[in-house]
Amino acid sequence: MKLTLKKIPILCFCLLLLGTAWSMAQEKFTISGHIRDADNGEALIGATVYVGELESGAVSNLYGFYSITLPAGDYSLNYSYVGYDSQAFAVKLTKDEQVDVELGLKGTLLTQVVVTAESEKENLETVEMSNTKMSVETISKIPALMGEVDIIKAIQLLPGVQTAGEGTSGFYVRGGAVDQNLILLDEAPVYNAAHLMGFFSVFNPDAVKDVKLYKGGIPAEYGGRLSSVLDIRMKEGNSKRFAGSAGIGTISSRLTLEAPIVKDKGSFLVSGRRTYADVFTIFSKDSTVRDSQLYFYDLNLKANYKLGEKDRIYASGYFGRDVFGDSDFKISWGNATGSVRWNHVYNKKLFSNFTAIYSNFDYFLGEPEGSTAFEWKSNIRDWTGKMDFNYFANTRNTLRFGLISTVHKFNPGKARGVGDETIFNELGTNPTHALEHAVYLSNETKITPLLTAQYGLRVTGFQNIGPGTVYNFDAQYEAIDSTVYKKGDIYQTYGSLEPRIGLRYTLSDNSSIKASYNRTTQYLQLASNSTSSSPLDIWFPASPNVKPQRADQWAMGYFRNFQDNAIETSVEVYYKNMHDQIDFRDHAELLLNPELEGELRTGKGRAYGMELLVKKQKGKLTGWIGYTLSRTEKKIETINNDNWYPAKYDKTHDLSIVASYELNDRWDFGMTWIYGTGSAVTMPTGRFEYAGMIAPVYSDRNDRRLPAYHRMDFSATLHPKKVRKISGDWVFSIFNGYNRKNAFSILFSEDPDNANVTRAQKTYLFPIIPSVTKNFKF
Amino acid sequence: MKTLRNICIAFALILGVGCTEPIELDLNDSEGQRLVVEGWITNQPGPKQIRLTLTSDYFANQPAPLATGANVTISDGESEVILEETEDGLYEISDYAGSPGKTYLLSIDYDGALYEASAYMHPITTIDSLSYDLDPYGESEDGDKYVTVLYCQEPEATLDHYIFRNYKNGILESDTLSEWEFTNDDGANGSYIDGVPIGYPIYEPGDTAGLEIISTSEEHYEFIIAMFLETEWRGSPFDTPPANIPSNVSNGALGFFSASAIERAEVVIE
Repeated sequence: MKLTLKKIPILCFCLLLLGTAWSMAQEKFTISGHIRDADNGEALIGATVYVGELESGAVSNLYGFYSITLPAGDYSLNYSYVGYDSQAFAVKLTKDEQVDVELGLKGTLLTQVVVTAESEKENLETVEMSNTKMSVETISKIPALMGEVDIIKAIQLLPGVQTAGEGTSGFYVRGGAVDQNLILLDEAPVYNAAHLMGFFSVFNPDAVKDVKLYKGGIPAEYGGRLSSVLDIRMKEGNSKRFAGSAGIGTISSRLTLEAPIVKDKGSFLVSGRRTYADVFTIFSKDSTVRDSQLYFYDLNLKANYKLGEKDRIYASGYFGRDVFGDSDFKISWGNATGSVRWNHVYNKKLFSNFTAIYSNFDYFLGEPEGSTAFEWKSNIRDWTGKMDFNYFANTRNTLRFGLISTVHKFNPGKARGVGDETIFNELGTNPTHALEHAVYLSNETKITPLLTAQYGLRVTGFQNIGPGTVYNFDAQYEAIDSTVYKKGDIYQTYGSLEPRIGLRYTLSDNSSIKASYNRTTQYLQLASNSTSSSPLDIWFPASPNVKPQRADQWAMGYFRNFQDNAIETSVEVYYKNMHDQIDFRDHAELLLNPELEGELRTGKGRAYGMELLVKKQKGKLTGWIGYTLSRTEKKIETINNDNWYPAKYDKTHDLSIVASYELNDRWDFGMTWIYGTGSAVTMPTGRFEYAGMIAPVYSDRNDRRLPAYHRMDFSATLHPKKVRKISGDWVFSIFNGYNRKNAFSILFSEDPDNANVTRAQKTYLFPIIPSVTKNFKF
Repeated sequence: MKTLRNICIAFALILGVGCTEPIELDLNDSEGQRLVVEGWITNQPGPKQIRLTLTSDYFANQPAPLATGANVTISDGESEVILEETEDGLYEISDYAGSPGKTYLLSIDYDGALYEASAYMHPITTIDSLSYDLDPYGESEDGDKYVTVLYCQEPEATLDHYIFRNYKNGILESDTLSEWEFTNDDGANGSYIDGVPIGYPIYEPGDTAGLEIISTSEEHYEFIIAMFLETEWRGSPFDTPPANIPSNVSNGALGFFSASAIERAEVVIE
């Protein structure tokens, strides 16, 4: 049968009906409930419930809820979660049961402990592939730049994830660009995850519970970006007792407080972090340094409350900002996100979540006084409403469906003179608005005991809505005129069908193969020309001039565990075709340009590669080795004479070794080693003189490489004895242990001291950097 | 943008990070030599020159090879003049003044190939007056130098591009492209330029300060921007990807042929 797009939804429903029909035969009951952490009441995401008699089970969702429907009978249930002690129950199932379970960290609870291997084979048993879940505990063991534990830097150590240069918190997944990653913090999109030109990311690890990255096989509930989803969940706050943590680091300090609102019913969390480089500048003798402002901060807030057995509400907020400046000039940028969620359990099988989301990224720069006084503001804002349902139909089928609608407001940047003396008029772009919608339906079904499929469809739509001005361009990309649309006019509509399919086949007790296909569509993008993360992000939507980006990804993988699941290995291959990709003309002017769309050039991209992962999760020595062999190329009209060229983040080889070793109760050690092919760059092949200047002549775009990048980092953690229930760890770390001067960029320029001489100079950012952090927990 | 760049660099320095050192590279360059044209017609009387050179290896580290033995002509659509090679690679006409509103066509016959370029001369606004002020941005080292201050009307009807050059006691100070200042009228279109400091703060009491405002085409302006983007402005976090500098000369030649009207004023610093 030829599988066309139109037939896919029909097929989905047929399979669902089939699944339901099977389950009609016998009287069945449902066991459902929440799985939580015994110590702090946090919901455990992805915990497993295993039914021994059926050799099958269920997994808790993002809110810790699970549901499993079984024929009447006697069962032994085993609840487990990585790093936690398992709990086993015997159940005589004669009616629907609610079983809420609390699991304790390994070795902390003296309840009945049954060691089973099943939960540790999650990598083999889940149909999902091309994704990685990381606990904050794992992330915090990785040596970090200046001791700042960084979620995005940890993600960059996974196979298939690349960086474009040292110190950037932008990441590139399987050949996708930085703006093709959907970064969600408690379901709210975060548009710029970088602090301080990207040296640090905006996620305060103390406030984060769970991090999951999808590189492929993206489930139907996610959409809007082509390449990846980074789903970050904040902690809920301790619902058992008052607790907190704090840290004093080399560049920043942190404080987190959490407590029950009513014990076991609700809790809150407040977490803050601020750098203090500017604390030292006030001691400077130089007045310009003294007057300078130089800091960033993050504030995470969260509260949740259980309204009854069936309802719980959550409210989360994130506010972060960078500020640099002095008396003459100031630049500042930041994100604000908020989400309010309502979990409702309709019945034992149907779980729902309603979400309202707000997200804002803005930046400001300005000069307050004088004839060139100006202010420049830009932002992107989203208002989103969302409904998600999980229907645990039976042991064989789990359905997910929902819908989402977003209002986007883009204000790409407007500068205007301020004060009486200014010579500037207003310059820049008027705001534009758009609506984005999606509905999705997916089912995870066990076709046979060995074969599981996850299939779904996401239908998306995008509309540009007035007021707005659209420039019309001729074949030379010159604006010829413009069309003005009134408020409420819908002047462009795009739609897309996005099938998502995944299959898993169990080969043996310790191995499985998986395959996936997904299509993704992206309706907004970042106008970014530079290599480094710049805060001057310009997000702009699809429009009459800009088609939405589309990508198709195929992936296959082989997964095998060794030594009683202590060692997980996998090899995955992927191929991705990207359509309506965007780049910018040579010497494009992106900032404050109302005719920005005239600077765009479109074309296609392709990416393919192989990823190897060996991971050890048990024992004193844990960690992973990841290797990626890949290629990413683009072909964009007018650029590089219309020929294919490597993307700047194309990396042939990329290797990460991450290890941590628990020596004893007092000392832990961590080490990472990274090796990667140098970034693709353009270098001069000749030079010419004009009016006293020497200028380069280039050959093909990105046809040369920076020197290979490699670096080794170390960390050591000392856990002294607890004093009055307060533990106070010392973390010593060394970044770039053997002081490799990795080229961040190579600059070709005229030697100012010698006429006629041109030279090449490399810039490297971080030499060997030691740091110390003191962390407290109570 | 300059300030922003400085702030970034300052931050890197405060963190004690970010260093630069020379690197040895084999650029493996064997592109073959291409013709480079440098030519400028203005509305001012006096000699006009076309300089023809060739490209060289990036690390050649010697003056550009000269393109000799070319036949060079300039036409304004009505009459054509021939330029004589007065030095190797330098083609000159002793007195030639263009006028705004005309299009000039440059034609070069070199080494068996024909290269052509055309340039339209845009008009220039008149300077109402020129004044001076103590260096307002503190750019000069000791901070006590003076800078020229311009008063003029920016024409609203046209899309204008400007080059500025400084004279000190009658001598051109901005004698290379890297010392030119330039802008377009975005953000100031139709404004009265009511005393804006323009140029370099290089004057002391007793100096005669001169300022030229020069019209040019959008194409030439973009060429100048590209020249800076690929040379002096490189090395900031906001670098555009390296790309070849455009040219208005045909047949694969590099460089630019432009036409400009010039308006000049002087003031004595007291």
